[in-house]
Amino acid sequence: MVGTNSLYGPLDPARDAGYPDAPARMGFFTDTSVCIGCKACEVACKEWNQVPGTGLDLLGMSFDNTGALTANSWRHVAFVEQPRPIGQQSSPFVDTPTGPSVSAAAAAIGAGTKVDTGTKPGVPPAIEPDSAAWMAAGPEFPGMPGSQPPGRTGSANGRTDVRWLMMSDVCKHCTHAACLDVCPTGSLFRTEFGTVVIQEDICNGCGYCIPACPYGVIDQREGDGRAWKCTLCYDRIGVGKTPACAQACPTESIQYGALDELRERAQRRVERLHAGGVVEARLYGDDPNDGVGGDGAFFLLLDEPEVYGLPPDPVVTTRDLPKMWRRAGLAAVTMAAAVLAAFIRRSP
Amino acid sequence: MGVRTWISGWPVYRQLTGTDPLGRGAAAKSGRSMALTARTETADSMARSVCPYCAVGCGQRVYVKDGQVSQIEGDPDSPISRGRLCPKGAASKNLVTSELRQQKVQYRRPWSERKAYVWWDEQHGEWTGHDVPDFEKTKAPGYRPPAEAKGTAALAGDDAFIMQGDGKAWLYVPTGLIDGPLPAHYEPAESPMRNALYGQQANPTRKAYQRPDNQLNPSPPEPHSEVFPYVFAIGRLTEHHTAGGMSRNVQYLSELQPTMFVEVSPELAAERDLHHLGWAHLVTLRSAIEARVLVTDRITPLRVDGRVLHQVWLPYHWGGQGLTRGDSTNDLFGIVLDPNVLIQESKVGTCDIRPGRRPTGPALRGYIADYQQRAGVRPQRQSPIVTTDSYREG
Repeated sequence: MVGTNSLYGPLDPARDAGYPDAPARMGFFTDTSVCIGCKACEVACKEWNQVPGTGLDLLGMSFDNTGALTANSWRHVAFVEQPRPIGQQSSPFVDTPTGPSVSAAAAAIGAGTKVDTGTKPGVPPAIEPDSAAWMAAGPEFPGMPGSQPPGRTGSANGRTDVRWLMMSDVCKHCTHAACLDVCPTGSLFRTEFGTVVIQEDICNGCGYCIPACPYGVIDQREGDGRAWKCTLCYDRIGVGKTPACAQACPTESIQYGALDELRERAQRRVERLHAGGVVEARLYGDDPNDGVGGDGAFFLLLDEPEVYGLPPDPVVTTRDLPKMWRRAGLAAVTMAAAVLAAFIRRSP
Repeated sequence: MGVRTWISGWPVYRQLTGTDPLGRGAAAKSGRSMALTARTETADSMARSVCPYCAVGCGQRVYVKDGQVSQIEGDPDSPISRGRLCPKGAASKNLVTSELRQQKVQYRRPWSERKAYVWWDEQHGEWTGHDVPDFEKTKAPGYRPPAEAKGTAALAGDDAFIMQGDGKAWLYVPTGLIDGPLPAHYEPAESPMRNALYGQQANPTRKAYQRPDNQLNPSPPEPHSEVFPYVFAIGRLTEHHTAGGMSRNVQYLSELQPTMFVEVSPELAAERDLHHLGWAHLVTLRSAIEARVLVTDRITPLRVDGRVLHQVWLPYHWGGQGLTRGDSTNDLFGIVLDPNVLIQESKVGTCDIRPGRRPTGPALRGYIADYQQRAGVRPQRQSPIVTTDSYREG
């Protein structure tokens, strides 16, 4: 059905694309807070979709040697090393119930009282005053990166703890997919599950879809010419199977299901993380009112989208198409009228 | 094919007459897409199996079509893995179909005369041949152990050789621990630091092999430990399996971790003039290996005993064959075993790290000899096992 929101705004994409009895819209929720960077998704995807190899290149981007979503990598696990601690993590010595006394002197005096705990004969009832004083003098950085980094004790130049963000990126299967809008052959089409798929028997390799994608997902395969990307395993989900990446994911970082259900689950997950002190947790691509009408594959991130190489505010590149055509039409009419007017004046 | 079918197979007709006037969905669906189904559905058979890699034993479903493996994926019914796989397991089909896979099993029929490495010499009453027998030399093939036999005597004359002398699986430590059970802190067999707790530097019960080709880098209280000032620790990548013999033959895994590398801190990189993605080599008294450099904040210099101690990390998955090749980390290690179950104790060690690639051929031996000289190590030198006395003196 052609609706006012066919190119922009909230939309049920499958019904808009001519599936009046469409099943529930299916998608991915990729929760990066539990991603361990194993790359099983990348491999499972390539095995199922029989994607060619990408070559042996050491990229030096942490443990990421895939680099980006390409025609031959439909899942890409990004590794981001950041000089900051994970969540609200603080020194393990702070606020522990067995924490030190307020001062070294107080601790020495306290230990000197030798209160008999009466546990076992021959065991000193309390620690030595000297040891107690040392303990009360506060934690001494023992040199282990997990306990307290040099930066926090001022012993090494500005070093802090490092957190390692991992995110399995994939085609977003946008509600408003510009790739699909611009495809002149009908190779890119909307499935009954609301996903966006390139039909390899139709694609002629024109490449219009590549600059149309606001996320830079689609890519042309060298030596083949056609465009390739994630199909959300259209062949698998058609027979009720889980997509290969989500099936393999050992931590359930990649979750597959009905999009409505996934959005609810993601919201609960964010609230739980916030309650647990991970205030930087946020959803990306879950909002049906954003520039692409919401993503069919959305994410839970632990930092700004730019940190992961994602655009902060993506907009479907065909949003202004009707307006542009209207203006072009108006300009054409004006031009025709002007030409006509010129002839009218010349007449005697 | 009728004209009507032909016309309705035309997307524009479907677009004009159907529910998809924009031609972006139902009308654009190709014949191939309409017929598409998962190839697991059309497989001739499915076998339940277990992942060929590690000992976890994740369940796998192996789908077969026309006598060929068409898909291997996690088995959701497996109580171990519930259908999940790691990247190695996910690449199982790639392993099975790899061009580098050994297709012909080098199977040797037991005691095949043509291929035998060792055989029984009746005249002299002993095993002889091209190889050194791994078992009792004078035990005839026909020997059958009595029921109450123990140890090597329980091994029949034609039993397989399985590492242990009796050819059977062993339960270690049935009569008690050689070392333990109370915990104590010892430095590793190779360490740049003196044991902060005891005069005894390293585990006094460790099984050491004091040979000229297995020299340990000097550790305090021995002198010259400063020749190998850095600590190296090794580990695994999820993309490769043990020394890489399987995973480096698999395209999908090799491209995820294509190169042997060593991780260093920015501070050490500055100290030794190492450059991100450049070459470096690591040196011990045994050998030197080379690796590409990854400079990362994840590697932190430690402050120990008032001095800064640099550590480096490297994976141990590389070797001389496969799609991706590199130096073997195991070449760095000296062999030291823990006394209870004889597992290698030396998973960390000391080393030197230098920019550039290592020397090759005879030059490598000369390079190591230079380090041995600087460390004051002679071929017949014995590393001290008990160090408490020298600690008291020193």
